[in-house]
Amino acid sequence: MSAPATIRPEAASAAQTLQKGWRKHRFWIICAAAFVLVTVIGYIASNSGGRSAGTLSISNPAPAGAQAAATILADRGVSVEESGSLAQTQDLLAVQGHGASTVLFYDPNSYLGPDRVEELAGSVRSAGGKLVAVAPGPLAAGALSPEIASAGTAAESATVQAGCSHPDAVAAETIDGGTPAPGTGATAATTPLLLFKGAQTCFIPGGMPTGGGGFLASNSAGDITALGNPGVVINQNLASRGNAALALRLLGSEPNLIWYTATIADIPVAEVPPSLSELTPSWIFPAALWLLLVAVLGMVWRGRRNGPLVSEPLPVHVKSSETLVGRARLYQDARAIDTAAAALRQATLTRLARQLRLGLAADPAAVVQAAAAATGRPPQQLHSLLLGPVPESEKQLLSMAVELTALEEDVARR
Amino acid sequence: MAISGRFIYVALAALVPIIALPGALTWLLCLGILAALLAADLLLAASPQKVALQRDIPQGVRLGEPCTATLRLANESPRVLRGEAKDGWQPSAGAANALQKVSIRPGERAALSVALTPTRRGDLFTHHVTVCSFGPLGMAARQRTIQAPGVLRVLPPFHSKRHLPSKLRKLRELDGRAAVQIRGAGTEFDSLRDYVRGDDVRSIDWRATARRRDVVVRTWRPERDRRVVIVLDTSRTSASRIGDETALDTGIEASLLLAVLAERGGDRVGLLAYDRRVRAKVSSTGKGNMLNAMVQALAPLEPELIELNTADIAGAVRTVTAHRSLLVLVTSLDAGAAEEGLIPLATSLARQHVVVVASVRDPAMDAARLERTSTTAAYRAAAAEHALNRRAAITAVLQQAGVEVVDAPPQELPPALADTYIRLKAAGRL
Repeated sequence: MSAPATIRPEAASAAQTLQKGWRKHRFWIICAAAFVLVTVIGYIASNSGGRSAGTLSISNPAPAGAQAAATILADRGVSVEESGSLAQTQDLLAVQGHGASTVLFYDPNSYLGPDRVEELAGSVRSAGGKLVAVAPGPLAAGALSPEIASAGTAAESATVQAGCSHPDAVAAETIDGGTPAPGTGATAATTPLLLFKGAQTCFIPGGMPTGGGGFLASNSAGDITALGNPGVVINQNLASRGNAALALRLLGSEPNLIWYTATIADIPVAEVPPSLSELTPSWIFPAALWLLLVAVLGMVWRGRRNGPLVSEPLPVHVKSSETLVGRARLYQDARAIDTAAAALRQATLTRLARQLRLGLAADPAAVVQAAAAATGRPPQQLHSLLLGPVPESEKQLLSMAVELTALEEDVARR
Repeated sequence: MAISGRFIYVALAALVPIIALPGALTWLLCLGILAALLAADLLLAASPQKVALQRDIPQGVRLGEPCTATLRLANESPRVLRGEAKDGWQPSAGAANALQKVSIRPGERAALSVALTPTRRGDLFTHHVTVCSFGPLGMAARQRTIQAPGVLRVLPPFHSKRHLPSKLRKLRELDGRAAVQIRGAGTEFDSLRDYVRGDDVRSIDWRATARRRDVVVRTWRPERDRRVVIVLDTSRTSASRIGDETALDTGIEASLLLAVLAERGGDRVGLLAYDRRVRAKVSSTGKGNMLNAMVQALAPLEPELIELNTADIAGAVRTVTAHRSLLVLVTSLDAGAAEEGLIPLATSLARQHVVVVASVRDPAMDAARLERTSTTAAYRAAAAEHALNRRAAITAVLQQAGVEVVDAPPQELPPALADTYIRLKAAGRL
């Protein structure tokens, strides 16, 4: 026998290795690339243009946004600044100087408590600015100015007349009585309809008592206004009736507009429930993170295979009796009692003929006679068993099969 | 690349500074140390690229017998190769210790003995060896799979070998009986010898007796140098599993016993494995050990899922021998396959040759025939009777055409076929 050949691993160049790796993992590499691509495109698409989805947001071009009003005001020389918290608003007020600011205050989630709203109103007053509160809650409305109070909600109506001597309201004449403005066909955005009472109460919806609230209420000084229908300002309804006149006059009377939408940043820190990280010891989080890293390493350790998988070529083996079982099931499913009985009788006759030495071509009647003679059974009985009518039920088939076996045993015993 | 449990423990130990000294610096330090350990170990590990392999695989091993394949690893790198090597045998090779620890100094070699217990006949392969080389710290390893094909040929077990002594004795008795008792047995003139009482007077050679003073008789011996051709059917019917093995495996056992017996009996044996083309062909006219040539040729045979091409068998047989011979067809008597192919084939072959059809009988069929305890069992018994009737009919047709039929359960087929051969030989029909 010749000495076995020595095998050395073939040296592969870096390019070959890369090519091999590419061919091997092509599917997963393409999958991962597609996933990353889709994620990045989705992220970029959702954030392009600095859009936001908030109601009354000045960067929201959707029907519920207020980009239209803000853009018009900016075009007319009003500098519009967005603010997300009370502190930021106060800073902006301080920067813009005395008597040069209007503050739009919108707090749909009531992040600010009454005392904080009062603080805001105080800051605006001390800065000599104007405050327009859009749909403030009942407590907030009371905190804005003692003269302004909430007067419940209103049902939707087509138009509301000014019905007062507030100069902005007089200029607007009529505004929408609800959102979407009935008759405009727009159905995209709805906003609450709140009523307020103040030193001056305007836009009292029809059907309300004269002492009831209106959509616009201001204090006697005219610097603090509550607007009960935010639908006046949103993009969807701005062009309708006197909405634009009212909104732009309310918001554009000073050179600066601070668009203050209360956010979660307004919630005082102490009111936030303690997070999990504050409740656990400080070392738990880094330790858990490290243990996670160790677990990943452990997976790498245990998951590394000792070489590629080895395949086993499996030959086809078929159990021989399967055709037999299949044929039996066919008989049973079709209730082929006649076929089954014929097969059983034929086999018994053949075996009896051989045992009684009658030859393969023996006449069945002769076999019956010989068997009767051999066992001493009545020939009529054997004739009906071996050559008689076909059994009618499965029960009879079964008893016939058993009797045939017994007969063969009888003949063999002789 | 691979890492070891030791590296995991070190990473786990780093939990202590992470908790004791919280801060980004500790994290950086711990990660840095781990990365440095990993890099150092990887750099200092012997390159698994610089390993030379030699395989030493046994030439042939019987199914069920253990053997040892040796794998020699030579470390051609300048560092000590510490780690593991795994021989990639396929599962049915039954490698008990395919994964072994190795430690080879530079320039030296080590032999890995892989104990194999094959569980399947045929060619069993190993395609590669995976070498995993750890660094001196034993934390990280470089792993590489080296393509190193090897093949182990697992030969048929030849369990029917145990029948061989008794059958050979029968064959020798045949020789002796032909000489002393029966004049008619055997047709070839063997020698002359003195008459002893009891010899058949018809065998007295009067001419030789006239030349001598004593009465001389002729002795005869069974024919020698007759041809036995075994045709092994490897078509789809050979894939049926009867008992523990396929019909093909039983056929191989029977063929081997018959071939060895016939060779000892002085006949020339040819073997043909055929379905639609010749899968194996052995002839005892070739030089060397007949049995060895046969098991080597039969070892890689697998049932093919195609129909037997009965039309071309006669032509294939003619390539083995052109003379009258004993033709043993190891095939299946199952209805359907037999009626279209086997009966016309066997009857046409029987005009020129002595034909024996050997077929495996399923004992489960006989068991199902007698089981009549429920309706389902009765239907099954009917189906079994039906199949047995068809079988009996085919057998009768074949026997009418002068074809011998051997139909026996798997364990009994090889001795039954051997008995048929001895009977035919004794009758001088070869």
